[in-house]
This record gives sequence, C-alpha cells and structure tokens, in this order.
Amino acid sequence: MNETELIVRLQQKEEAAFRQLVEGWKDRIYNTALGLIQQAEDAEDITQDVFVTALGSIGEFRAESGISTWLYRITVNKSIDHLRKKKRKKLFGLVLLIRGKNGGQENDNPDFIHPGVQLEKKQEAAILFSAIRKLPEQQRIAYSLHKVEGLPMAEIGKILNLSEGAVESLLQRAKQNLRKSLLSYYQNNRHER
Amino acid sequence: MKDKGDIESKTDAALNSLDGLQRAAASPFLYTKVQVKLKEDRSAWSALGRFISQPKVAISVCLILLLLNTWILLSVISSRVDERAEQLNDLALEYHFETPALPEQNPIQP
Repeated sequence: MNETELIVRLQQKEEAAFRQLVEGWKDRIYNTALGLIQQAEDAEDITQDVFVTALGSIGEFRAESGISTWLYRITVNKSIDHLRKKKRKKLFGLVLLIRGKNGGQENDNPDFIHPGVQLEKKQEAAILFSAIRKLPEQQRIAYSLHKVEGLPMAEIGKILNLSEGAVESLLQRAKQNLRKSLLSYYQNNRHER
Repeated sequence: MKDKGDIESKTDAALNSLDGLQRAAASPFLYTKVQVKLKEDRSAWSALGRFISQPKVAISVCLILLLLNTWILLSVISSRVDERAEQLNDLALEYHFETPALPEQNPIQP
C-alpha cells in the first residue's frame, strides 16, 4: 500500500490501515520522543498520544508534506509540550519547597541511557544526554532528531519549518554548546574519574 | 598539558558516543494500548472538551463573554448616571433650586 492509498484509507477510518500506520511507525515515533524527553514511560505515553492525535486529525491532513514529516511534527510538538509542563511542575515544586511544603521531587532522570547506545559508550552517552538537556529548546530538538533519530537536515527543516541552512546553524551551535558544557564537566570532575 | 589533552579526548569521545546508535523499539503491545486510549477518548467529557477547544468555538465564546461584559458595564454606568441625576433633582426640589419662571427672572420693580 503506497502513502496516498494509506492516507485515503485512514481518512475512511479503516482499522487495518490504522494498524499498519502504528506498526510501521511506532519505533520511529518512540525513538524520537525518547531522544527528546529522555524518559521511557513518558516517551511511550507520548507515542500513544501521537497516534490518537494522528487518527483524530487525519481528515485535516493535506498531502503537502509527507506522512513522515507530519508524524514527526506531532511527536516534536507533544514532546516539547511535555517538557514545558514538566518544567512548570518543577518550578511549582521549587516554590512549594521554599515555602516549606513537600515539593521539588520531580524526577529529572539524571542518568538516562538510551537503550540503543553501544555498550562500551554508555558512560559517555549518559554524560552527553545530560548536556543535551541543558541546550536551548530548538537546538535540543534539532540535535536529537539528527543524532538520535538520524534524520537528514532537509527533513529536520521540514519538521521545524526552517530552511536547511537554519538547521545547519542550529546543529553547529548545539555542538559548540555541548563541547563547552562537556569540557566544563570533565574539568570539574577530572580527579574523580 | 597532558590533563588538557585528556579532557579534550574525553569530550570528543562523549560527543561521538551516539555514533552507531540503534533505534529504540516501542512496546509490541502499543497498538492495543492505542486502541484503549482511543476508546477512552471517545467518552462524553472528552468529546465536550474537543468541541470547546475548537478555535471557532473558543473564539465565539470569548466574543460572547466580551460583549456580555461590555453590555453589563455600560448598563451599570448608565444606571449610575440616572441615579445621580435623580439625587440632584431631589436636592434641587428640597432647597427650591428650580429654574425660576420667566416673570420671576424679571420682577417688576415697584
């Protein structure tokens, strides 16, 4: 079944088409969400939400962008919403903590290790993922889509509505910031390791 | 110097640690979980939520609320103006501040 046919069948609410969409895309969506939010359970929830949203809005889908760009865009938006919500909760928890109530216990998952990282690189990857969390939002998205999901710059540009040049510059700045962050990390921890 | 070189190489190793990364796999039961979520999503409250969150519905409700507020504000202001005018009239009556009639304005001097 080609993409156009799949979209038509999805718009007709055909269950087999929906199953095909989920089975064909679940790993890509999950991996993207996992790279962005670095939390396995939340990434699975987001993956489910992406398919629910996709099915609900398939009627409005225009074939201007491919189904892949559309699904990735929904995933990025949902993941960013989730991160912002988490940040707000953390801030609220901090306020409660200052006021002496029990708050600020939001799990930030400091030792996230992506399950697809090679065994001998796990330690370095955990440090890198921690540095990725400190990147500005757009840089974090672009870097994660490029390095974790392995998307080319042109595709990232379509997802973020940016030119390829803008994505390249985002990635460049992300790498510079990561380098700075990692250098300072290793300088501060040189005697421990 | 050796220390600096060591830090640089560790930094490079960390930056390259995602090379050759394998894609993480979602749960094999994801389709079933999505189906459950879809059934939950079809409940009455979520249907109401979806209806209200439609941009045209949300904008219309906002406009209606804005018009209602404006109408209430205007009617309160006008009722206050009426009340004030009434009070002034009462005061004028009590102290005989009525506008004098024309013959009174030019009384004939003896």
